[in-house]
Amino acid sequence: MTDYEQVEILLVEDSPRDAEMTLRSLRKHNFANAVHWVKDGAEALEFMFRDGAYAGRDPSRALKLVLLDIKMPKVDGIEVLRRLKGDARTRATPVVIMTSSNEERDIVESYRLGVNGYVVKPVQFEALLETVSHIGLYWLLANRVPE
Amino acid sequence: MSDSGNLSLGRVSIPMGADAERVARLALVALSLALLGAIGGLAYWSAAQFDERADWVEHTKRVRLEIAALQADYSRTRYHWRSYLITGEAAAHAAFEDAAQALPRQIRGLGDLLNDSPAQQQRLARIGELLETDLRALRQTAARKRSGTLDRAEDILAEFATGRQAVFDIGAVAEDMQREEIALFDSRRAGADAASARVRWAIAGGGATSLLLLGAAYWFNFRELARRREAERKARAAAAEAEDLFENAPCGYHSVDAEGRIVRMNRTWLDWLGYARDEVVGKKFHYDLMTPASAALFRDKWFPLFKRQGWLKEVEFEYLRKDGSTFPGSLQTTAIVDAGGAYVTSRTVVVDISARKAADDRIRSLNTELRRQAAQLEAANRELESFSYSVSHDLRAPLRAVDGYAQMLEEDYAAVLDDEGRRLLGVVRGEAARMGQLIDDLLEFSRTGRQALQVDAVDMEALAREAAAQAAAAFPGAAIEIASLPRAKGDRAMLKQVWLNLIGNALKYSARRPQPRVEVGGRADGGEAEYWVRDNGAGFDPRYAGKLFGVFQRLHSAEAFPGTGVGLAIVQRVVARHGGRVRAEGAVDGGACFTFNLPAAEARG
Repeated sequence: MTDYEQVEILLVEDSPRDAEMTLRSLRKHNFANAVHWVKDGAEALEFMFRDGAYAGRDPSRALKLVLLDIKMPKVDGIEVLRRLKGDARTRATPVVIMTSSNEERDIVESYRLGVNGYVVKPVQFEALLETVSHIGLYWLLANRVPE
Repeated sequence: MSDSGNLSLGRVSIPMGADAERVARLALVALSLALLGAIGGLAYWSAAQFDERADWVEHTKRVRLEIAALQADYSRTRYHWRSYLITGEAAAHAAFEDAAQALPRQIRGLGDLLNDSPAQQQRLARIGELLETDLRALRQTAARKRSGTLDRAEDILAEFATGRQAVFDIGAVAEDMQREEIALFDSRRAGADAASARVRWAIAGGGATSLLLLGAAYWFNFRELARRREAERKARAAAAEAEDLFENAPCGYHSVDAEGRIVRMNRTWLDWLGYARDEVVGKKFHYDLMTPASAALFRDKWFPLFKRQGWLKEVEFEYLRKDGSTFPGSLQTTAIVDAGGAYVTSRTVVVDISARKAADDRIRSLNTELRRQAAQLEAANRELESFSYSVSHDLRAPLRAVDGYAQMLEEDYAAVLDDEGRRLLGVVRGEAARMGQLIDDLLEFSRTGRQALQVDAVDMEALAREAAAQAAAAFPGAAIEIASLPRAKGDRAMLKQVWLNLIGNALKYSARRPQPRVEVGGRADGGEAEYWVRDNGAGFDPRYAGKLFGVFQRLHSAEAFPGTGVGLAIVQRVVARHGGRVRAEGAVDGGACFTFNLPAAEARG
């Protein structure tokens, strides 16, 4: 069983390729143990609201970051963002959208809903690695969240 | 069946000036009547004159007879006197005395007749004196005979001479009198004749004049009559015209009474409905001619409203023909009220609006079709947008994986890869990067076509400087000269992309020159602003200038000058969306100049 108590980053990503590359990047910075990867928005919501398979997760440990893709089956990233920022229990958790979409309307909508960051995934792997490590370093080490 | 409606004719108007003419005509008749009266009077007076003249003729005759009778009686007296002197018989003496005594009576009678003429009376008096003297002498002689002193024949004969002078004198005076009477008669007759001649002329002249006057009056009358006939003819024509207008007007016309019953209806309306006049007028109500739905609406809403406000305008009903078919009609009506404001009748016009309705329907269906096409277009746009979105996401993700996994391979298996292996992996990653760029550019190109323009006055010089600074970052040592540029009207973000692409191109293609130069210029011309970007770079073959603006069209190899061939296509699309034009001039190794026009921003006063 995964030890959810150590989880600091929730990676919401439906593409196993992108997930693997992101996880590899995070691993390089020794964040690997702190990441939990879910494959769609529905599972992300279950995790965040300790529902279904995550019913027993300890609510006292605050998440430091949610890395959220937009285009996903079932519940998409925008909907997940709306639910997280619309609920008092999760509103404080930083959410960074990491997506392939450079669409203006997605960016506008995300900020309207209260996103903490919006990052377009670079096509090149190098750039992706760099971006992910910047995000990880900032949100996990520099940023403070309420305990 | 008579088809004529009971139209009331307008009053026939009599031409101006006719009153004066009527007065003149009356005056003419009055004058001629007065003349005839005068002629009558004159005739009467003339007849009286004539009678008087006849009296005078008679009078003269009598006077002359009386004078002659006096002379004869005087002669008879003297005869009886002589007889007595000769015979001495008493009877002769008595006859003498009778005759002598009658003479003074005769003188007096004649005197009465002659009281009109003092001259004749004097003459008569003279005769009287002569007679008296003579009779005295005759009586003396007679006395001598009776006394017997006068018996001798020669004495008697001598006595006979006695009074001869008197006989002569009396005869002379009587002769005078006779002449005078004739003269008097003549003068009287002449006077009377002159008067009667004047009267004849007066009668003839008056008669002629009055005939003329009557003729004139008759002529005036005739003319008036002709005028009246003409006016009547015109009135009849006007009435016929009005009736034709009413009956055959290209609209339905009818009137209803206070209950809404039709009291008259024109032929057009009857023809439209397919009814004969006597089937409708006085029998049907207006709402009887409508479909049940329209009739109910008319009865419950519109007719009461009409009675209240006195008019209805362009109210549409569905009318029902006799054969059961229907058509839409538009109704307009006004009420006629009496002096007290009470409803009398209506003037109602109905127009067949099927054509208009059909046109409306056509317009509606065209509109529907247009809306459908617009919706289709919008759907197509949405599809395109979601397609772009998919391309953006779905193509990028595997591309990133290709790149990422190639690098992982490189990183994790560097020990087992030789140089050729590493080179091949490098090619894979380079191509993946190029494809990523293509996708990004394509998306950018599609976005410039879809995004709504936010038009504003744009400071093109500041924008060009901004873009130049951004583009020059990749080309250190490049010389960019930006002249003073006119302001343009357009979307700032899109125009910045134009500057970025053009200046970026100029920098890229001139980068290998020993002294690369890029010049940016512009000028305003009327309502248009023109801008250009010139470089001293590689230029291009002008034969292919037209290909420059096509998507993915390139005149240089990617090795020589990297790029996807979308930049100029974006420039052209943005400029075209602003209503402008873009053109390229250049020569191989002779540099290039790209010029574009935009609507100028209004000059600031």
